[in-house]
Amino acid sequence: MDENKEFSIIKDEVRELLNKAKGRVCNEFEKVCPTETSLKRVIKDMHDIFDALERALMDIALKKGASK
Amino acid sequence: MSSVVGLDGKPIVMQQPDKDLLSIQQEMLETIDRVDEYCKNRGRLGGLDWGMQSLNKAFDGLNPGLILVAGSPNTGKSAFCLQVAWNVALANQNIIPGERPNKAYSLYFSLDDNVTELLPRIIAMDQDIPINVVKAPAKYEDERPDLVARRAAGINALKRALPYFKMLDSTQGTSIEFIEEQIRRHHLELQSRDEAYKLVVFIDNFHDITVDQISFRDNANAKFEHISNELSRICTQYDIPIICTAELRKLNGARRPIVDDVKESGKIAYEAKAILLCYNEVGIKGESANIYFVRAEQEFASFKQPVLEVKVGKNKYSSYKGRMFYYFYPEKSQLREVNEADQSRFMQMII
Repeated sequence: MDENKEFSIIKDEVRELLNKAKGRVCNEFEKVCPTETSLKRVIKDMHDIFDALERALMDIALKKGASK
Repeated sequence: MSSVVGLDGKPIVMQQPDKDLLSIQQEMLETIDRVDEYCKNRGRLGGLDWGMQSLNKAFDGLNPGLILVAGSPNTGKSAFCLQVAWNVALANQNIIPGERPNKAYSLYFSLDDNVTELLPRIIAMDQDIPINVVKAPAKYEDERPDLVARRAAGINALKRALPYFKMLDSTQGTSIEFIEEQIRRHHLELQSRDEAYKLVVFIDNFHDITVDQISFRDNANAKFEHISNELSRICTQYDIPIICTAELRKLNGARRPIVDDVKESGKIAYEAKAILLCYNEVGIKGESANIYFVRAEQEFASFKQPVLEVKVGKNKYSSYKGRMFYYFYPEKSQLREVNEADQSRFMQMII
């Protein structure tokens, strides 16, 4: 398979997994956040954390691909 | 009437011209007086109310001329245009002496979607409910009677807006000749009812306008040049604003558009008094987007929500050339102005 295509499939799969995880985290946040504003604030932080995680995972995938 | 005071604190006495003016000089005098009166009549706001603070600030109110709203497909430019049309109709229902001497009538030409698609969007946007509830109320009757009740209120709001808002779709016509005929008819009828009426025309979109009377064969450039000239002439002739959406050439990569990206841009970009360039990073980059907002509702919280960026690429109304941001709620076809903190945060991210 074309390397670019393979990478793009991995990217989509990772993103789907992360989105599912985000959904679960949001459920937990909703239980503990007292106001909508605080809920929005932690959701914003959650997106930032997951963005960083996604970038790190992609870097690893790219490095693995290069070392093959 | 209050007199104008000079820098020395004394009132300025208006110049009284010579009584023995030649007829050619008299013509110029009439022009000066007419323009003076026209400018005074713009009121304190400077024109009609856009119904959105950010747009009033950017353009000193809504004034006659061709205004382009350009963006890639699915950016939110139709939602933007529709909301502006509705807001203008609602915000200018009455004249306010000294503040706003005109009232508006929004005439919306949808050459892209038909009214069965668009009217539900207006009700959804106005009543803050999902478009699907408006389109298929029976499905929600048992579970969400509150939403169905708001839908009914939305239908009433549309009926109450009859004196200020009208929508025509492509089944009635798409040609520039049809558009001009409708503008002429509406302008005449409104003026005969009340001279304070100002027609505000919306066209979605420029690239769907056809020409009946001239054949351009396959010369798209010549056709759009002709349409641009006609739209500009209509604006001047009826002294009205025309707000028109336009498509972009295919952009290479996910970059922000510039004026030159407007499809067949030459003439239309020249004729337009203002060009608004729309961009929606979430629509293009999805979860990798940096410019987004979050919603607390469970079904939306785990996804980044779109923000519509509107960059003023050309502006002949004022010196404003900035960028405006709107929280976009696609399921309700609704845009809300961002708060100041987000406005500066988003700006910093772009720079």
